[in-house]
Amino acid sequence: MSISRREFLKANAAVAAATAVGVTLPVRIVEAAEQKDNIKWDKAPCRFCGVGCSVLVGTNNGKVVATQGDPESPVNKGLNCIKGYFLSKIMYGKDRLTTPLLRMTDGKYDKEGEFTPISWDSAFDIMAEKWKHTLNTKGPTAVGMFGSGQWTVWEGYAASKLHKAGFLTNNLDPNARHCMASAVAGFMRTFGIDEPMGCYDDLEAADHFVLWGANMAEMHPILWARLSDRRLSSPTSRVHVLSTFENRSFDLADNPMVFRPQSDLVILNYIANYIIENDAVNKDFVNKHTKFVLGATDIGYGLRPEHPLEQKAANPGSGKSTPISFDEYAKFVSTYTLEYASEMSGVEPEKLEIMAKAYADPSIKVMSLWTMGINQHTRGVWANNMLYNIHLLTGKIATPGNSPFSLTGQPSACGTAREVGTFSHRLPADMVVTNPKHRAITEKLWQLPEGTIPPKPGYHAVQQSRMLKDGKLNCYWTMCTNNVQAGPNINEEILPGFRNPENFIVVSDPYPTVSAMAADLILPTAMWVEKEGAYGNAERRTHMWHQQVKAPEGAMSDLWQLVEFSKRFKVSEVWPAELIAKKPEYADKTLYDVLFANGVVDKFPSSECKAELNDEAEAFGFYVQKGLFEEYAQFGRGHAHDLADFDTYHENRGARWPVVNGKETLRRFVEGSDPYVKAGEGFNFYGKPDGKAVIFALPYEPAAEEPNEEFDLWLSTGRVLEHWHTGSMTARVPELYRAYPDAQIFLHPEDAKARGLKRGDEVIVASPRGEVKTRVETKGRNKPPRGVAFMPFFDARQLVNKLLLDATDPLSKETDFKKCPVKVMKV
Amino acid sequence: MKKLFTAAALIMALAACSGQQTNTQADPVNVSSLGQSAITDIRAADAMPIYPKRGASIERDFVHQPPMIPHKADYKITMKRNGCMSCHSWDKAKKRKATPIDISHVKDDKGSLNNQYYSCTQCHAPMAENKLQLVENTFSNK
Repeated sequence: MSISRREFLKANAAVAAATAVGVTLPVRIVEAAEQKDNIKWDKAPCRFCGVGCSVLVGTNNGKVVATQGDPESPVNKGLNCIKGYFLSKIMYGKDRLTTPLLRMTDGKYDKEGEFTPISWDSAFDIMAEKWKHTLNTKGPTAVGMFGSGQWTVWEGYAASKLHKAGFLTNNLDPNARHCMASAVAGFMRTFGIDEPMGCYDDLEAADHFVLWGANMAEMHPILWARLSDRRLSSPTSRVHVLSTFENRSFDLADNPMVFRPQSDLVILNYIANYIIENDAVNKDFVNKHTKFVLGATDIGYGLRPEHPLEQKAANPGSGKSTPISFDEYAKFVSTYTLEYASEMSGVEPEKLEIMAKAYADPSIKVMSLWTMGINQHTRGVWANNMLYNIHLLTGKIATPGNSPFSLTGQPSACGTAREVGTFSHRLPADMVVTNPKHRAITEKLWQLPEGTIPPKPGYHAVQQSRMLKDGKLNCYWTMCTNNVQAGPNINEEILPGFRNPENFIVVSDPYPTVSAMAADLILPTAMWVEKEGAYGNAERRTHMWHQQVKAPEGAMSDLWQLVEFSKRFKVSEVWPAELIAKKPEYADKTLYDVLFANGVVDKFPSSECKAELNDEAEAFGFYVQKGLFEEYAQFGRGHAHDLADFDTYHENRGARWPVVNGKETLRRFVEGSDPYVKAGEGFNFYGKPDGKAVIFALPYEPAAEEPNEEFDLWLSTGRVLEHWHTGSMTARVPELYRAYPDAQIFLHPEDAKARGLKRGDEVIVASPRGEVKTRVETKGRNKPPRGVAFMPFFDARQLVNKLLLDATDPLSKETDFKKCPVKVMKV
Repeated sequence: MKKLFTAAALIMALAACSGQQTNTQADPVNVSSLGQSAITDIRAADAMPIYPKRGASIERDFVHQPPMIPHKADYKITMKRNGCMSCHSWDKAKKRKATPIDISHVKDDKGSLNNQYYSCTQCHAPMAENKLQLVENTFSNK
């Protein structure tokens, strides 16, 4: 796909219309447009969030010179948010890294040395030396990688192969653990298959929208634009917004609700109870397509086992459940009355009831939307399950506008982290390392001897940090992520592991991030349209782009780094003799030969790439992206995860899987839309062996910590519209920096006053784990109630996640970033 | 591979060819994150951003860039009222000496706002006048 500037202008009738009605278009821009006939435009997904907008990238003389919304994209229909519009500048921060940097003293590696330029060859030399030494002395559990929901599909796939099949370790986890793991576990427990059944088309089909702790106006702006359009265009449409503090999404709320942290669990069960008590259960649907279970309770907080909270828990980490009847479920939720829900949440009963009525009324189509408020929650998996309960009890699911929709944080948390299975327990297409059949399928497709893939899950994100600190994980490579800024409990649980003298830490990034500063070796990385890529967005849409410009000399893509590094290992150096004995012909081969030049991945010649640039194909001598994709796609085809053939995605604006006979699937589990549901079935939740979705009886349990006399405010950390995560790209764009320069703490004016503070004052925000200095904001876009505070985490100068406890959901291992008791003091 | 070597790496490669030890290689470099301090430091907070009361329109940097807002803009955008439209709608812009909303944002010849564009702040933001950049950006529109 490539269109000239002139063709695009022709297609865009707006210019003509503007002239017709006499509106002044800024002259400079029109002139600029006319002068830029030599701009070449090509499509690419936006680099940032999970919405998955498509943009048109304008290049000239080997550089990106402009970006704009892609009018042909069904996701964003020509629109972008402010970050998306400024994509053109993200690659041009002056401090791009262009050479590997190793900590050295007197020409030798030294953990306490200074960053010194070395060649790629030398960088891989020392890495291979460290990896081999660790593998030989401590075994595969002592090496690992932290990856990303911003990796391209094939980068995640290559990393997964290199670790699970090459180094024989499952110590691979993505930063998506911090954002989507609870959603994944929720899907698997309720439906037995990951990712939403509905799609973005539901935004135009729904009557009511319920935002559960998601601030879509800032974090999913283009979906918010579509939702706003629906609300403003339809007089019967309503928007219910739930959050622990008032945010920009409240501006269009018909039913705004500020609830006490953690009481969402009570509200969810209240709605289920309301539906039952008001005889609004869709009995036919429930009888045919669901079953009920009682989940294990008192499951702890995912902390280190010796932590008092874990010692106290009756069933730490238990995801067990036992079958119950509908009546037993009804009895279970019957104590969640309106009065109780209102008392626990602090929300006026009338507002809760208006929302419950909308869910219960069979004539109202309801779309529920959630992300980090529900997922970053020590009971996040439960909360996901409880949301599905409501939609299943009413049968409001998988049909146009009836849509429990788990929004995604990152551009390929779905496509790469989840579908490829770069989690420490996962394999492609929802398979897991603990299942011998799944390992066997994978080993066969990867042409590996039986027993290659280790059956024990590896270290997940928070566990990786703990094991680095404890000296059990010693060689660690992080890519496309910035955990020393984004992760929880930085001072006590992340930084110590990076700086542990026993460990060798490698950080690959285009820019010197906070994590890079804590590393021993930094690898300069090509980004976004400097490489060919594929992402998968929140509505199961797989979409691709071609390389459009060269990376700065010296910067190499994550894909190249992973595949090139595999050449440094002979199978005999990393596999045990028993395993090699099953495939002796592999002994003298390299991991590169076995994993990548395996007759499948190297099947397609570079000449098949239709782009002018493909640095990886040039380096390896074959169309490596296509080969990896086609090998990977075998896992899902015929198994309800069908991807189209590779080339299709370069022609279209993506397609929603399963793609069967060239046709994408808008809504899963429902007859007529999902090719995996047979005629006459109506619905089939085929992720479960009996085709039935599971309704979970789960209670309210308190947060890991609550405010006390000293640490008397709840602190939530999160994102802002203008910056992407830790700001390593967006804070280098002057316009985005000036739009939102510094993090601040949002406080209720009375909370500020009670501490002798006013807007703009410098303060220390402290928890038992750390402190940051920031300034007070009492009038900004977020308006917390008394007792609650919010701080964004994008600002590298204010590492606010130092304050957080690394408590996780015990089932998903996802950290709760939203409920940290802190105190605020004047500097 | 060779062409991928950076200048620094080339120097090293040459050093290796001449039989010298690797300790003659490149000097350490200054590299720093946007944190502007050590990770363990508790850095003093920077000044609050200041947004100008009013100002002339800000030149755009590339085609299709949404214009940035040259003034403070904390106007409410609610169901009832879009605060930005009280100056930037087609019928008020001239009188208010404001830039009218772009033709791409309207749905009829009267300039009625297309609802998808209702949240103006999704794309347009005021620019702090006391903050310019954290690092230089070398983007060019040519």
